[in-house]
Amino acid sequence: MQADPKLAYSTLCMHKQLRALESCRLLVLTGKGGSGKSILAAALALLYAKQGKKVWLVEIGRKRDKNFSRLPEILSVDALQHTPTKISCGGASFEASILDPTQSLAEYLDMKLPTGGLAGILLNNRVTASFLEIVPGLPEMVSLGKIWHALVEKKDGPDIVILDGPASGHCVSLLHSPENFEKLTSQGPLHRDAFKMKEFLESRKEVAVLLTSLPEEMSLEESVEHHQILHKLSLPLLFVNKIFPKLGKLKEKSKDKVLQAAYDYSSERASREETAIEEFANENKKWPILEIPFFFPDETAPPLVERVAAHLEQS
Amino acid sequence: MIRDLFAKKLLLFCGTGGVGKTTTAAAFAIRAAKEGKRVGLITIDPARRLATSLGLDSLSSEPQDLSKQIKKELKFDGHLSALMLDSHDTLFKFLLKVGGKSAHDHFRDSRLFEIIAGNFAGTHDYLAMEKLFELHESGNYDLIVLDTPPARHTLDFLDAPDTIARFFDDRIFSWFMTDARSNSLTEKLRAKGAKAALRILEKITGEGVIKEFVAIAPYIYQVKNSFVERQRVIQALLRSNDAGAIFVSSPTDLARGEVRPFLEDAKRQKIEILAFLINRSLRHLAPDAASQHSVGDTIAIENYQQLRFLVEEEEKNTTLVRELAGGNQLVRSLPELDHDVHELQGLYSLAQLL
Repeated sequence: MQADPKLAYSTLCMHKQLRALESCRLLVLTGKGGSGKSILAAALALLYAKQGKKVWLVEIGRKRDKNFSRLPEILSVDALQHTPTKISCGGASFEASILDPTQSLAEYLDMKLPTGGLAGILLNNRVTASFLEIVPGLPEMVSLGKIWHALVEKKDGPDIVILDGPASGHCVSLLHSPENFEKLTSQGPLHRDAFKMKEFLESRKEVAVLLTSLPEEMSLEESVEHHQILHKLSLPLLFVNKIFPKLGKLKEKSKDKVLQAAYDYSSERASREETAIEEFANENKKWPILEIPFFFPDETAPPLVERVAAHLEQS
Repeated sequence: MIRDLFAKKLLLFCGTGGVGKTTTAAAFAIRAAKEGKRVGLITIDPARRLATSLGLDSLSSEPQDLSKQIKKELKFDGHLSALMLDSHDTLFKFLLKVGGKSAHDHFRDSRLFEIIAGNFAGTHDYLAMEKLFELHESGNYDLIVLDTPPARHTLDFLDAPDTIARFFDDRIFSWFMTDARSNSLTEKLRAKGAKAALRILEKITGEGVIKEFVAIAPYIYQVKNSFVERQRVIQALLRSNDAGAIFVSSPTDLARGEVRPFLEDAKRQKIEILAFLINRSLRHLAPDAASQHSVGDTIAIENYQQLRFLVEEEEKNTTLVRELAGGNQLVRSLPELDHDVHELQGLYSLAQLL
């Protein structure tokens, strides 16, 4: 077994790239499916919570999407709701939610419209649900709005929000939704809010989009494409996740064919991944990479989120 | 039997990202072409990975005939065309066909419509169905293979016809049809109510966007029936015996508990799951218990133990899938290949393993 990084928590050795993110208020994790967005989002939430920050870990999903969320399993809870749930793990605690766009929209309308009266009748739940279904981008816009409101407008909001974002293409739609709504509406509160949200997202100081990738050529190439599409936002870091360990060279061919095959596969995979990362790093010199190893299933080790957080602290 | 799948008219390849769904769908399409089927392969994955898998620089929204490449590289005659969904292009093609030039031009000149059609992921859902209809109606294909976006969005697009129909049946849409020419009292009252509703919306959105919507609403009304009808044809086809879904997963992703919600989703959508493909299987590398391979170089032993961990997890997960699937579906493992597949030859080797 690969030795688990020892679980000593010291912010001193935290990677300088991660330290640079400390001033951020919103970190958005995105990347290809299966590249570890959720686990990294949870590990970052834990990391910042340990530093004493008030952290809110968020995913966006409609009711039936909740089934597909990985966060409850990662955080060892039964389920997450729109209303924050307190999570305690690895000696720290933070809040976590799966934001429901229907509720976010209802909350937004409540803020912007006088309560009761005609507005209440016309924009009832069924009507708003209908709008959410039909108007492309509206669920994204109101969900992002809810996060922005908590960070910027609310008084006792979180210090930092970690958004376990949707995969590649859908995250682009999410992050571009304020800009699109700003264009769509030429005046009114929605226009003003969309404009403020766009400014916030593009501020570069307060918001960072962190990409995750698998250590494979195609996945890394996709990150570059992603980077180009999201160029207006700050993308300071790429996590390359699930890197297969390189254990060293075999002195002589093993007599046991099965062992030899295991060695061949593992060393070939590790070398292939190493080459892919090197090539990527050469072509994208200005883009720092943070490497995360493959964590093998191990029932005796702490939960995965703690193992990843410990690794982030020590890199 | 995998052969039964070739007899279908429409197959959806579903699963989370990063499991080789695009690659597997492409490999399957090549295999079906080898069997003599005329195959259309579509991706609605906004990540545009299908082209790379096929060894092409790019794909357009019009079917690109790959027969020549297949003949040259794989030495057989096969009819395979591939395309990537372009929502904007598909939409305007539909508008021209159904609404005529004037409707098409009104939409084209509407700034509001341009933003909606061009920028939002949700429009993909509606237009994937329209593109499927277009291909299906053309009669050029025996089998259409659709590579869908990652799992949680996979079956959403099946809701598209119902969502749209509901919206039009709803009074919301009638708010925007304020220039109805009727003089009846009910109409006038309705118009009055609509105006009040729009004024409230305007408080949030501002005036401009509502005006723009009112301006194109009659044209939307004109084409909506055809749009919904065409979507329903595909919805019905997807729910028939001529279609079904293939769930692609990796051994580790199975553990993420995504199989169960997917089965529920498929049931809700009345889509039959025909097969589970477990991609990147490592089983062949760790055939027996770790204790049986404990003599030799320590590095190799550790490699073996690590793989053994992964294979144990894979076996546990595969058993779970078989249980959940209930025995009717094909469950097949595909070994991990030692390279990224991005050429026809590589895809074909994978196809032969199916």
